[in-house]
Amino acid sequence: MEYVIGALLLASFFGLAVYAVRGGNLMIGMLIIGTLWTVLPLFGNTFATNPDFIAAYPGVTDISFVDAITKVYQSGPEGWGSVLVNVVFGAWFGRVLLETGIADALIRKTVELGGDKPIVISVLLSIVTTAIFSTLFGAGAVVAIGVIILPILMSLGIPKVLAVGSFMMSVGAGMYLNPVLSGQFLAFFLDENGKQLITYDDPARLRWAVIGMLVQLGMVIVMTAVSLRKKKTVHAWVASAARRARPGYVPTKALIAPILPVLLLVIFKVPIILGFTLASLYAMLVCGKMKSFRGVCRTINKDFYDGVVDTAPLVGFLLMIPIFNKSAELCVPYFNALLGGIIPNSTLVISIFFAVLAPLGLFRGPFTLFGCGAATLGILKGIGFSTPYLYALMVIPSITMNVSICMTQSWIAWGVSYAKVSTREHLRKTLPYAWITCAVMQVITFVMFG
Amino acid sequence: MTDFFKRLLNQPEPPAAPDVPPAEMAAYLRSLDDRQWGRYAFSREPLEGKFTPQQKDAYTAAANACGAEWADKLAAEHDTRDPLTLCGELGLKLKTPATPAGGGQVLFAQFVQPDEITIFTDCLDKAETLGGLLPARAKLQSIILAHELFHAVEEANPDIYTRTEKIELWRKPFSNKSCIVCLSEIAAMAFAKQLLGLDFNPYALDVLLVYPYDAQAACGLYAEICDLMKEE
Repeated sequence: MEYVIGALLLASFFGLAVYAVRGGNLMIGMLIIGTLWTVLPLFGNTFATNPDFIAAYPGVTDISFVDAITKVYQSGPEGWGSVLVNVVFGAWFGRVLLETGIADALIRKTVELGGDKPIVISVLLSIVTTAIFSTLFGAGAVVAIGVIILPILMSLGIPKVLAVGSFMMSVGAGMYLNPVLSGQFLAFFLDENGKQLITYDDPARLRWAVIGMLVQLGMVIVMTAVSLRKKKTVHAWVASAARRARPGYVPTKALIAPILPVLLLVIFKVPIILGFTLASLYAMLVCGKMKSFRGVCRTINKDFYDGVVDTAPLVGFLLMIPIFNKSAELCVPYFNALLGGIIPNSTLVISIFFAVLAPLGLFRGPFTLFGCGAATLGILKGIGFSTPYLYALMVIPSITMNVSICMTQSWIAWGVSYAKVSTREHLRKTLPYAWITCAVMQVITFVMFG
Repeated sequence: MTDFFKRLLNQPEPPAAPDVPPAEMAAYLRSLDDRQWGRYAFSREPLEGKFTPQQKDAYTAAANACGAEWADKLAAEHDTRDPLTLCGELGLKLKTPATPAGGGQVLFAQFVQPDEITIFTDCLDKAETLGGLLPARAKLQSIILAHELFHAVEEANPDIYTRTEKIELWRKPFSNKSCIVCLSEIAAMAFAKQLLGLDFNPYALDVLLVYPYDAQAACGLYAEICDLMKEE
């Protein structure tokens, strides 16, 4: 029976992969697969006869129907609450940086340093973008920064495909350190009581995240240098939509605001929500937005509202993920029964596998936690790899393939459409560098945690 | 998808400019002089924050003079003011594909070093929907081609004003001298205007050629230009 259920689960896993690749609605996809992965193991548990199999997974193979549906549909989304709260505060902070003009000023000052040298500007903007998105999160923030940076890059004759690719991969580089995105990944690693098995400020994880950010940023710089090496000068007559009015005066001391929450967290162990709040207040104070109490209330209220609107499209999907995660836990015995003997339990082999097949993180494939990789993680968890290793293993393709270059990522779809670049051109430009980034990071992960 | 990102950007809809009829826009845009268009060009210059209004006007005047001078020089050398003939005589390749559609920008034409000019003809096709507000198709193509011709001239002449005028960006003892990108565009517009004897600055096409693609975007641009002129 366990083999039959295992085979059905595996078939549904591939079904989800096909559904995701074909652009199906992932929120509904997660709900459907979560339901399927609850029903199938419960059915298998009812008819399982192998006493060794039943005894090997106490609390899973003997779980009651009510406990199972409570675990999947109630505890799962509830447990994700802390992640959502971080997302909302992060989005608020993003809005503050945009509305005070700090993000805009940071970019313009960077451009004024680079002048007309495309390679210098491109590299400097990549570094600034990475720094900004080491704390900022959300499609709204990416679009708001993108509409400033992309026209600048293109006006300097940088090819559109490179402009979009380097910007999006720089956003992705920052995401390695981003506390909001990291929180979403960390929520995949909870113990029975809902306690995190690995935390944001875990020194080894933090070291690994900084390395990841630097490796990806380095690869963006290599991509820029290689692409612009033989670049022909291009003068394009382009009309673009009206620009947003420039914000008021932004003092130099305000420019550290984007990285303040992460610095506070890493150096002083200030919790991230307090970090976002302090950094927001600092940004408003130094930019002269705190002249009256009533004005401050109005500004905070509006920025918070706008920040929540920014995250709204994500919320539904984020709340379905834990349903899927919890259901995957019920499936572990069956996946192990079917694949336990096939899937290698050597970290070296798994790391090589993930390096070579890294593009499976594209199109919501089996290597991204924002797709059916959540199920892959469920299978690998059953094999007994260490949490830091599994975390790093899965996060690499999730960030570098999915968040940084995949067309199924909302802001990348926007960027490609904004600059009128074809999907094929975009992938042809970015995939080789993203692939190398994944391979390098898998080697580093093996050395650090393997 | 567009609405989704507009919502994400949380920007107010463009000013109520959709109410401005294209004829009114065209009349106003044609009335702006080269100095005023210089202000518009500088508003899109990445190094804009480095200049005072007086410096912008001085640079604009010099760039316009450069473009006009080279138009006369080239016309005299080749004994023609026809951009297509000049294009052939200068050994430039001309491509005329249709333009890619959609997106946040409208691409009219481009010059790719060393000798390739591309005019995206879709904008010419769409311009016909505006009736008599714009020059006839052939004339419009000549304006765009003339603009790109200047970039070819610029590439072939390293000592031209738009390539030699530079500003220092870094503090001593470091140095990073940079060209001012918008000067090249200002001069290219002046080149086209002088070569073809136009009574308006081709920068007006930035708004009028966008109109058939996205009336709201064109009206937003128009409103931005009106605001810029009011700031003077």
